[in-house]
Amino acid sequence: MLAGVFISMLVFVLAVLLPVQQTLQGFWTNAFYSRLYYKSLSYLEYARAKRENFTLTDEVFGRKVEVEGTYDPSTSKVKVVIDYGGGKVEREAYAP
Amino acid sequence: MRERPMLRKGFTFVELIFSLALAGLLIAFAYTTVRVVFNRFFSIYAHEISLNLFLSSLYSVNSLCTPTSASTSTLEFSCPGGCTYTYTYSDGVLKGGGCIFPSIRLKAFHSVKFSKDGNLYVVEVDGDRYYLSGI
Repeated sequence: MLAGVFISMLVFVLAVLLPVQQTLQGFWTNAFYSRLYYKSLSYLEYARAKRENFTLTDEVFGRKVEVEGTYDPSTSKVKVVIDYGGGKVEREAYAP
Repeated sequence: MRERPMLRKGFTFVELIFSLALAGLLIAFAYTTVRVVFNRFFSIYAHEISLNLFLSSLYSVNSLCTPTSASTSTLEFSCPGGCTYTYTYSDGVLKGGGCIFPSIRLKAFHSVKFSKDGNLYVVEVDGDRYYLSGI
């Protein structure tokens, strides 16, 4: 009796809960990186418009990110570094 | 030696009705929970797909064109060759069209606002801000 209940629970966890959890986690991860990609473009555009050094904090899909922007007048280039906790994303562009 | 009491076989009518009612309640609760969770998930999923389509379109247009004017519900880009690409948001529907870029029509956003701050253009989608430079 107890073995039957245990096996049923194990089958339920392996066949239903685990795939559902992995699907949701995959969706959440994809959504976060997708938003981070467009946010990085957004911060770069912000840096191009400002043309000055700046730091800001923002939230991307529920996760806090720290952005550091730098402007180099000698090369007319802006650079943003986005620290999202799990790593850093760097982007660079001209700001004529 | 004492005899073990016999177990009663079958259900009484009241027990049967009570069991059926309990089973019905449990099924209704499980169905409602699953339905609410799935609806919420698919609503977020639809929003993410629409947002991706919009931002992909927005930054593609911005790669060739420059934003030139913005009102609360309209954002206009000037593209090479003198043509314009315009995004408009009205009654929950976001539309984009013009010039050589594909048109777009999306419905999954609760609010979209366009604004201008110096040479910085701001697109606010459901409270999330995306920037475009006017240079």
